[in-house]
Amino acid sequence: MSLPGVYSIRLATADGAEMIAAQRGQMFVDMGSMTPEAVAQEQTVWANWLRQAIPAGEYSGLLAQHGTAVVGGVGLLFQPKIPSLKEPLPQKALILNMYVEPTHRRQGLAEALMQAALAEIRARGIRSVSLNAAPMGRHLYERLGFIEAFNPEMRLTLGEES
Amino acid sequence: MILPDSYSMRLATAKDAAVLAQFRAEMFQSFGLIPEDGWEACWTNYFSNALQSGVYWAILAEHQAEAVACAGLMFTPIVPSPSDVSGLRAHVEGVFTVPEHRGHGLGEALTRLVLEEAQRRGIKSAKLNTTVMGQPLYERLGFTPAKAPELRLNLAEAAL
Repeated sequence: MSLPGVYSIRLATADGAEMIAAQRGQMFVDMGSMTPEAVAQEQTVWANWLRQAIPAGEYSGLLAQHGTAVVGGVGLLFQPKIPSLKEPLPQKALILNMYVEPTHRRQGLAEALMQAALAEIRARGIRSVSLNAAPMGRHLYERLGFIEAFNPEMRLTLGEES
Repeated sequence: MILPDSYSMRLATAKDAAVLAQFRAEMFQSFGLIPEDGWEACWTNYFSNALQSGVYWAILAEHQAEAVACAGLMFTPIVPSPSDVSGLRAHVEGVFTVPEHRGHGLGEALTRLVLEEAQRRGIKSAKLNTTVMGQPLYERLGFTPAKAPELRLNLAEAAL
């Protein structure tokens, strides 16, 4: 699928920190997992972290633009993993913060962002990719070859365990 | 929770790398997966370096001076939030008990010790991946399935 010509995708710099934090917040609001009020309390912490994590190479952001306006984005976090002979690099990539503004949906932007993210991951020699899929994105991720893990993820907030 | 009688626990060091590699291979086999040739050198080398550098932390249960179970801890970067500024999540990894010593609560006891170590380091959340078999144990510890299920892709295998 090719992207309509008015759109372009570029790598984010530290200057994109506020924009990415805003997209992350809107993503959680759209998913129904956070209220706008809760997002407002978190967004500054996210932006401050991104401002140093992007230049440090801990986070990579890809931004989709319509002309000069940013209308979508996706991010990558690099996480340690136990290597194997086929994958000697002890790193995997987590895809997160996938967001496209409602008026720019259904034009292939999310897929183009995912392809750009996967290309970025490949270029680093990383082979293992994971993401936590919201229902809205699931169809796209499966089309790209993502499958549910045979050993599903479980989570715990520490301090609450019995 | 303390370990059952006749078992003791200790921290793993780089000298235990071969045992951790062996347990990892046995864990894969218990999932019905066959570790690729050369796993022994690859994982022994990894655990030796990772235990030394602190990238990996592990604890062993022993019975008559022989390691019979293990549990490990890795540190995964996450986006921080006001309630969790650490920027890290504990990744519980490699919980394994040799078949003859199962049913004594070793996996649960070692996992609790891993979570305590994570808390000591100021980490506020934990994750792990488990098969259906391990799920009840982790539910007892308070783990719940990830709200947004994890999907995976291996770029070496994917045709894009």
